[in-house]
Amino acid sequence: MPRSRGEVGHALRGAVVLTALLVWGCATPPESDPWEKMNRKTHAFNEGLDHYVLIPVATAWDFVFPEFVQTGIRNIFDHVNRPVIMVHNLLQGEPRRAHVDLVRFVANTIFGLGGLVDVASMDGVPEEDEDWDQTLAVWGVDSGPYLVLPFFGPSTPRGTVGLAADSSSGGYSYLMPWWGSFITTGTQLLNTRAIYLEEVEQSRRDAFDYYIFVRDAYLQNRANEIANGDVEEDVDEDDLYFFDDEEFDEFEEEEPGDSEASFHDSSADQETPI
Amino acid sequence: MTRNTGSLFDRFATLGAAAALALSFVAAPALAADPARIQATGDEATAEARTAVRSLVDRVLGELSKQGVDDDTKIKSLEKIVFGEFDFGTISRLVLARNFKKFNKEQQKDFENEFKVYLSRSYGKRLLRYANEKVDFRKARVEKRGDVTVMTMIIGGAADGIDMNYRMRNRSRGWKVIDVVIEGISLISNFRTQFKEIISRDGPEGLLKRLRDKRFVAEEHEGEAA
Repeated sequence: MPRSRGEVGHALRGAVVLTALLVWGCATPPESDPWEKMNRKTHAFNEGLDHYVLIPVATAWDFVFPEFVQTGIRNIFDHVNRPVIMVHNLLQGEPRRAHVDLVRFVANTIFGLGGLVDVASMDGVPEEDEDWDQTLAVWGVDSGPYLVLPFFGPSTPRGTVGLAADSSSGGYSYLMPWWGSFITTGTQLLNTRAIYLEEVEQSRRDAFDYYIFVRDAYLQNRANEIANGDVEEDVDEDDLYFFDDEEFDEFEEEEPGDSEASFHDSSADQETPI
Repeated sequence: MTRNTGSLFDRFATLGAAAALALSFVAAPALAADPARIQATGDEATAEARTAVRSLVDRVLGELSKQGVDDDTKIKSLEKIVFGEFDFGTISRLVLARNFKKFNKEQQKDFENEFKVYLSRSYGKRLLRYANEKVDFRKARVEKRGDVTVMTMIIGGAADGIDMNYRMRNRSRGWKVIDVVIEGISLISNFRTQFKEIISRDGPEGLLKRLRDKRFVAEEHEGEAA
């Protein structure tokens, strides 16, 4: 007799949460990547899996289904997950965003053929994804160091806990038999992979160090989603766009096409953007 | 009785649908990007920066939607537009960050040129896949020391709903792009992290060599595709 889905989900969640807490350790800033050695190995494993399993199947998928079908499938998955996102926005103290989710859900159900077409997006209603990782972040839980999970890819200890919680709190998962979520998760994974076949292939080819490319992209993207796209001037900002210990006065007036980089020391003592 | 329940249910359903309809009509425009709000936050700087990005985006989209032009010619025209509107001198310095000092003048110039070529090959080809997308202009924000972030969103196609922000800096020759941030991922930050390791291991020449190798790989790949 198969175990009920709830039991499996519960056991799995318990195990993942426990593992995550065990390896969490102290709060480490994600940039430092103390687990890089292990992460690189897992990353290589995932790359192999992608190369030998996911890409071939996703390529077939991409061949069979035209782009508008893939977009439709993506829209439906986004749509059925919308109530969950709404709840997360309430949990994060964002009633206005929760309201947007409600409007989006209702609009797409009525005017978008039950979610097949994302009419709300055409109307310019901004779309933000929410999940347990983000809610935990808003509640002040530290992410812990960067962690690459086998099969699931880039994450952090907090992200791992979030992922486990997400999988057992999906809105539509309660409406299906226990094996149903394998089919929906598989479909969603393949469809998403098919949409980004070319993009990923090119990123991989263009990257100088694909592991670092993915790590940096993941961490920045998460920070952005947690702040809902409104990353205000944070501490890193100065470091990213300015140097206080350098003076680039002369350079600023340089014309394009001038092949001489005029990079002089200047005695000016005010802060100058380069 | 059955009929009564039915009609009652019908009435509730109609009421609900009407309410939802009204809600979505009233709420959706109010929650979408409000042009009036953009005007309010926009002093001269944000207005100028927005105009610069808008003209850049219009020119790029115009080029992409041209019919009967082969890809190479398109990429050449796109390069011309982008090279004029991006401040590659600043971008190079920001990407190299503190390591900039380790490069001598010749290497600095080399890096700027190689990185430019690399970006154009890498992103030029990507851009060609997009032609029917629309770009929605959202708010613009004044950052520290006079920079402006212009926020846009791509509507339609595979990249539907992707946030694309342009970091603009006021130069003697107008507002120029110094960073592109896609879904929160900054181009400068991403390359800086990748380059940092190469420079610390192999020095400036090592990085320049890697950049030239990439150019070679790209050409080889294009040869295969042709």
